[in-house]
Amino acid sequence: MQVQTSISPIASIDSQHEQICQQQPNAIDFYELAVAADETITSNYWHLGVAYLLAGREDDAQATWLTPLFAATEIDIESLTNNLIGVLEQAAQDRAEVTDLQQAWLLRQHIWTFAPDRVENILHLICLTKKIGTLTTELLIEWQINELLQATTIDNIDEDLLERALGALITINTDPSLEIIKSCLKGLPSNRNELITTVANTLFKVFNQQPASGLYAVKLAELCNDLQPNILSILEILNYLYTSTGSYHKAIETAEQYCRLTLSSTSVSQLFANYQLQRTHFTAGNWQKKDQLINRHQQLLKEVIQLSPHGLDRSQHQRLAVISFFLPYIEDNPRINKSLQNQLVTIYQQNIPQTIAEVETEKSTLLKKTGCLRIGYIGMGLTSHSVGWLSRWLIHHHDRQSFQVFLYCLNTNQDDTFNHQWFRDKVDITSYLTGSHEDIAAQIKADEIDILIDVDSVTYDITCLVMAHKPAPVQVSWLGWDSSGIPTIDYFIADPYVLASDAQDYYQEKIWRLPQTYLAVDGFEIGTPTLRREDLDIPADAIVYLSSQSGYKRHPDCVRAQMEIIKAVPNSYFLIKGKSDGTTIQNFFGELAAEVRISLDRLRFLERDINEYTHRANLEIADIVLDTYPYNGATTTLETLWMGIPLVTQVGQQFAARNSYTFMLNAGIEEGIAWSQDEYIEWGIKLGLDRDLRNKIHGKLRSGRTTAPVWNGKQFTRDLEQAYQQMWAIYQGQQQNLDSLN
Amino acid sequence: MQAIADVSTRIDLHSPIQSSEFYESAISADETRTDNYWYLGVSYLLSGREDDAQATWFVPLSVADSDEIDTFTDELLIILNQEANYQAQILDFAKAWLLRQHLWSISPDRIDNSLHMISLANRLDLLAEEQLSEWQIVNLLKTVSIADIDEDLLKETISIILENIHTDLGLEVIESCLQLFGDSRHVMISKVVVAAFNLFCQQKTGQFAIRLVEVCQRLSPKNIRVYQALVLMYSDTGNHDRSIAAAENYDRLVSSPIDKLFASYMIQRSSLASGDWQDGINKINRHWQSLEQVVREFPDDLNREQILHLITSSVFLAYAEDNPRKYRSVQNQIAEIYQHNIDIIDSDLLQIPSINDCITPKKQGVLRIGYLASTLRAHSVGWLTRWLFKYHDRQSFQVFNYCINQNPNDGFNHQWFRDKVDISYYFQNNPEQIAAQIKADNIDILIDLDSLTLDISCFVMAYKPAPIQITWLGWDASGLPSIDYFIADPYVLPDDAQDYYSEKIWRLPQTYLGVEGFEVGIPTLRREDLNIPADAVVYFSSQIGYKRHPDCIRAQMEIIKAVPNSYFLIKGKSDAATIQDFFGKLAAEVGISMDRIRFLPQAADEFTHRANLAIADVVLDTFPYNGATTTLETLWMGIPMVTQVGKQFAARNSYTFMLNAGIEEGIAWSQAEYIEWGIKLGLDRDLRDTIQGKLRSGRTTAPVWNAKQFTLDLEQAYRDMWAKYQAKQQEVSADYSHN
Repeated sequence: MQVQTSISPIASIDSQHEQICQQQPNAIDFYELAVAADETITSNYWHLGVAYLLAGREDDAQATWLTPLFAATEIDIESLTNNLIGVLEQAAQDRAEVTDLQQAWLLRQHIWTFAPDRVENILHLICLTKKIGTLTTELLIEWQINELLQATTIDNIDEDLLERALGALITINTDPSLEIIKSCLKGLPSNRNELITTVANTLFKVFNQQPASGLYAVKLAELCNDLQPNILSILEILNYLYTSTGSYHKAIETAEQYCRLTLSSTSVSQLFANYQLQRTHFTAGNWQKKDQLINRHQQLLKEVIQLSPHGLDRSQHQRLAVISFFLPYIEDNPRINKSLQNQLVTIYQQNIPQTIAEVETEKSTLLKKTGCLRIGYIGMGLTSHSVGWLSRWLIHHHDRQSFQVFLYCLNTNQDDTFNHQWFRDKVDITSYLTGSHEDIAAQIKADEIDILIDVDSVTYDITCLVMAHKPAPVQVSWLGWDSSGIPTIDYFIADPYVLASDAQDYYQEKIWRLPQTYLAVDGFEIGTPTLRREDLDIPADAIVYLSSQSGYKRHPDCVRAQMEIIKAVPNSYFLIKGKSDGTTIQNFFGELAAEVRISLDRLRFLERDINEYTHRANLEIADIVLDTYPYNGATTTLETLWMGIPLVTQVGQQFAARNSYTFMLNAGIEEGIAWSQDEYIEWGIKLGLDRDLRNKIHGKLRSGRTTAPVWNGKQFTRDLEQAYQQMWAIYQGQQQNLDSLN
Repeated sequence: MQAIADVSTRIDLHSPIQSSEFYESAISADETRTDNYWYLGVSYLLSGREDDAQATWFVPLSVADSDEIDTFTDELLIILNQEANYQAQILDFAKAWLLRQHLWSISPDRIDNSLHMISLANRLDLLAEEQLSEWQIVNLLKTVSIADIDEDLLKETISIILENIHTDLGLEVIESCLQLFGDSRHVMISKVVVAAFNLFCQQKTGQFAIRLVEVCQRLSPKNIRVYQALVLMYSDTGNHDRSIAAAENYDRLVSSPIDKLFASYMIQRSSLASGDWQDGINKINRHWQSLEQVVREFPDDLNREQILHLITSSVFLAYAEDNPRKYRSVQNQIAEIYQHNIDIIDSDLLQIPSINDCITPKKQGVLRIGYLASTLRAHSVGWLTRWLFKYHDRQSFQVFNYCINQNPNDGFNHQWFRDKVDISYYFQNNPEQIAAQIKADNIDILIDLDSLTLDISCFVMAYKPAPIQITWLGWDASGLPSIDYFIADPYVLPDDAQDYYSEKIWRLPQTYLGVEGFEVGIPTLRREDLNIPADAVVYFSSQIGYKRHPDCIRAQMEIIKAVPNSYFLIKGKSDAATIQDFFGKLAAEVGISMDRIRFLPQAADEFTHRANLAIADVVLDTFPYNGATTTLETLWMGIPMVTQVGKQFAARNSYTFMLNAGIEEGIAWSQAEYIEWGIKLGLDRDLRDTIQGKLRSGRTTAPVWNAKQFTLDLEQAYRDMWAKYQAKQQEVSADYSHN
C-alpha cells in the first residue's frame, strides 16, 4: 500500500467530520466508504478508528489505526503517529467540550499508549480522571508524570490546563502528588510565578472543605512559600494552616514575617498584619504581647478611620469588618472599641458596590403565603457547632404556620446529619451556598425574604459581606457574636441583662431587648463520663475548680484571679481544658502559678474529649466552674448551668462580658455573679469553702431545669417571633410614611 | 390426532437442542402422535424458545375436537409437571419456575402448581404479596381437600408465608392452609404458634405475630399453647384485658396440678402487669397453695412443656411479700423437682446436631467465660451489664455470648456486646442446642443473666453445660441445683441469707454491680405543662404495674397527704385505666384529691425518660420489690429517693445502690420510716440539696459508678472460683487414686 502523507485531503474531510462526529454509526459508514474509495489516504484510517472507538469497538479501532502504521517505512512512522495523535487530540477536545468525559478519557488513554511521554496529554488525563472520580496515586505513578516533568520544560504548556491539573493534584492527599506539584512549580518559567499563588489559594479552599488534610496542606503551602518567598497571600495561608494544625511557633514566625513585609504598606494592610499576629498569639494561649498588640491595633484603626480610604481592593475591604475581632478578648471597653468598629464598618460599607450584580438565580418555588412572614437565617454554624447546638431549639419550636423559614448555610457540608436533623428537616427551604457573596445576596433577594437573621456576625467575613448588600428589607444580628456595626443591619437582639442599660449610646444597630432572655435552649444531650477523680490523682474530698476555654479567652488578669482563688482554698485543684497549644498553655499557667506561689501539683491539664456528649458528662467532675473575663463562655456557661454546677463570672460592660450574667440570672441563680475582680475572687473562695452553698446553688439549678426561662425554648421562640412581627410592622409603617411623603 | 400415553421412546430432554431435533424428526415421521408435540414444546422452552414452544403445543390443540381437548391438555400438564419436578430436583429452580408459569397459564386453578410456584419464587427471591392475590391462592385452597394436596407442600407454604409475607393476605393464606389439615391440625397449629412467638420475641413484626396466633385460636380454640402465647404477647403490647382473658381461658382448659399452677402464674402475670392488685393478695394466697401441693406431690413424670413452666411459676410471690425464708425454701424445692425431671429426660447433648465447632483456640492460662442471656440489647439488663463487657480483660478472659431470642442485627447489641467479645451466638428457643454449643465451646464459667425471667435459660443451666455456673443480676437466684454461685455484695442480701440459698452466695467486696452512667437526652416535660407550680414539691414513681403493691402505695399517699403543695407523678408500663382507678381508690382512702396526682405517658425513648426524671424533687421507691434500673437512673440524675429495705434480694437493691452511690438519707427500715423519710425530704429543701450534692460528687468517686473497679472485682471472683474448682478436682482425683 502506498501511503500519502499530504495534509490537504484531511482538511476537506474534517469539515464533514465535524457534522458527523456526534453520530458514530454514520461516521463509521462514512469513513468505511472513504477508505474503500481510496486506500491511500491515511487520515481516513485515523478517523475511522476514532469512530470505532467511540462506538465501543476498541479492537477494531486499534486494528484500523495499525493498518497504515504497519505498512509505513521507518521514516514515515513518526510523522504518521503524530498525525494520528493529532486526530485523537482533536477528538478528545471535542468530547471534553461536549462534556462527554468518559469518551475524552478513552481517547486520551489511547494517545497515552501511542505516546506515553506527552506531558500535556497526561495533564489532560489528570483533569479528566479527577472529574470522573477515578484519579488515584497509582495512576499518577503509572503515568510517570513526575519523571517526565523533571526531564522536560513546561514553558509552552497551556496555562489553563496546568492550573486545572494542579487543582486536581491538590485534592490527592499523598506524597507522590506533592512531588508532582513540586516538579510542576519548580519547572515554571519566572514570568508565570502567579500560578504558585493560585495553587496556594486552591489548597486553602480544599483544606477548608476537608480539614483532615491539614498536614498535607501545610507541606504544600510551605512549598509555595519556598518557591515564592515573601508573598503576603501565601504567608497568610501558611500562617492560618500552622495555627489550625497546632504548629504555633511556626505560625508566629510567619505572622511576624507578614508584619515586617507590610511595615511600609497601607494602614489597612498593617491592620490586617496585626490582626493576624493577635490571632496567632491568642489561639496558642500566648498573652505576653497583648498590650503592645492592642495599642498598635487601636492606633492603626484610628489611622484607617482618619484616612477613610476608598476603592480598596476586594481582598482588603473584605477583611475590614472582622479585623477587630480580638479587641473584646483583651479589654472590656465597648464605648471606645464599639465606636472604632462602627467607624471602620462605615468605611467598609462605602467600599462595597451598592448594587447586587445581576446574577441568574432561580426564584423560590415556594408560594409566599399571605399574612406569613418569610424569615431567613444565614450562617456557617448551623451544624454541630456552638451556634448550631444553641439555635436548634428556635428552629425546632418555630411556628411554621405564621413563618416561612429559609436557611442559608454557608460553607456547610450538605450531607451533615446534624444539620439535616435539626435544621434542614424543620424548615421550608435550605440552601447550601459556596459561591461569592454577591451570588448569595442575589439568592436571598430572589427568595423575597422579609427578615434576614445573621447568626455569624464578625466570625465570618462572607456573612458580613452578604449583609452589607442588604438583600432583605429588615436585617437582624443574633447570637453569633457581638454585633458587627454594619450600617445595613437594623437590629441587634439582646435582653434586659446582656447589654448595659446605656448600650444604645455606642451601638449602630437598634438594640431590641427580648423580655426575658436573648437565648433559650431545651437542654443538652449528655453522654457517659470518662473521668474519675482517682484517675486524676485527686482526693474525693478535694475542691475541684474547672475552666474549659479556648486559648484566646484566657486573659492573664483573669487567670491571676483564678490562681488567687486556688491559693486561698485548701485542698483545691484547678482543671484546665480547651483548644490551645499544650506547652504554651502549661508554661503560661505555670508562670502565673509561680507568681502567686501555687505548686503545679494543684493544676491538671486535661485532654479534649472525643465528643460533646462526653465533654458535658465530664464537666461533672468540677465543684465550681471559673468563667473567663472580659470574654465569657457562652456555650460553656450554658452547659455548666445545665449540668447544675456553680459558676463564678465577672460581669463587665460589653456583650461578651455579660453572657454568663444573663444566662445565670435566667437559669435562676445570682450566686457567683461578681461585679469586679475582687468580687470574682471572693465568690470563688466562698464557693470553694462552703459546701452547703454549693449544694443550694445546685438545687436551684436543678429545679430551674423545668421552670427557668433559659431552658424554655418554646417561650423564647414565641418572644422572638413576636419581635419579628413588631419589626415588620415598624418597617411597614416606615414604608407607608415614605410613600405618603412621595 | 391420536393421543398416546406411551412415552417409552422419550429422549433425554436435558440436552434440549438434541432433543428438539429428535422430536422434530419424530413429528415429521408421524404427525399424529400428540406426545411428540408436548415434548418438542418443552425442549423449545428449555432452550429459550418460548414462542416456538407455545406454537408447537398449539398445533394438536387447535385441531382437537371438544372431547379431545381436555385429554390433550391433561397430557401436556402432566408432562410440564413432571419436567418441573425434575428441574427442581436438579436444583435448576429458574427452569422449574419457567415451566410452572406455563403450566399456570394453561391451567391457573391447580393449587399444587401454585404452591410450588410460591416455593420456587421464594427460592429465587421473587416472592411478593401481589403474586398470592394474582394466583388466587386463598380461593384455590378453599376448593380443595387435604386428600388432593401434598401435606409437606402445605407446611412449606405456611413457613414461607410466616417468614416473608406479614400482611392480611399472608394471614389468610396461612389460615386457609391450616384449615386443610385434619387430624394433624392441632400439632400444626402448635408449631405455627411457636414460630409466631419467636417472630414476636425478635420484635420484627409484633402485630402480625399476634394476629396469626389469633387465627390459630379461631381454628383451634382449645389449644393451650395458643393461650399461653397470647397471654405474653397481649401483656407485652399493653393489651392487658385480653391478656387476662387468655390466661383465664388457659386455666379453664387444663386440669393437672402442674398446669393449674402455670395458669395461676399467668393470671398473676397479666393482672399485676396491668397494675390490677385488687384481688392480688387472694390470687397470691391461692398460688401458694398450688405451689405447696406440687412440692408435696413431687411429680416425676412431667412432660417437657410442664418442666419448662414449673421453674418460673413462683416469681410473683416476691412482688407480694418480703419473706425470703419462706419463699426461697419453696423455690429451692421446686428447682429440685425441676432438675429431677430434666435429669430423667437425659438428653445426650453430644448428639445434638448443628453445633458449630469452636474455632477460637483455647489459650493457656486464660479462662473461658460464657454469658447466657436474652437481654443483651436495649433492655434494663443490657443497659446495666454493658460496662462489664467494655472493661473485661480480654487478655486473661475469652468471652462468649449466648444470646437467646435476640435479633442478630440489633445495633445496640453489636456496639456494646458483640463487638467487645470473642464470639457471639444468637439462638432461638432451643435449650438443648444452646447447652450443647456451650459444652462444645469448653466454657469454664457460665454466667446466667436471666435467672427466673426466662424458662429457656433455666433449662440450659439445668443441663450443666459448664463446670462452674453462676447467676448474676437478672433476678434473684433460681435455686437450681446445677448453679454454683449467686453474685451479691455486703448489702443486697442480709447476713443470714446463706441459710436459705441453695447456691453459694459470693459477695463481691463493694457492690454487685457497677455502671459508668447513663446517656441523657433532652427533657420534654416542664412543670407549667403539667400545671404544677415552680415551688411545689414533686414526688415521682416510675414503675411497672407488678411492683405497685397496695401497701406501698398507701404509704406513698400518706406522704403526699402530709406535705403541703406536693404533687405525685405516676408513670410506667401498665394499663392506664386500671392504674388510675387503683390510685384513685387509694387516694380516696387517705382523703387526697386527685388534683395532686398526675399520670404521665411513656417517654419516646430511654434518653428522654431519664431527662424527664429531673422534674422530680423526690423519687418514691417500691416495696417489697424495689426498682433497680430506675433506682440507678434516679441516683445518676442526682435525685433524692426513699426506699424501704427488706430481707429479700428484690427489697434490698435500692439499699445497696444508695449506699454505693454515697448516700444514707432516704433509707428506711420499716413502712413508718418510709413515710417519715418521704415527708422529711419533701419539707426540707436544704436536706434535698445536701443529698443532691453528695450524689453529684459521688458521680466521680462512688463505687456504683466505678465500672472498671467492679469488673476487676468480678474477674477476681471468677479466678477464685476457678481455683476452688481445680483444687476440688484434684481432691476428687486424689481420692480416686487412693481407692
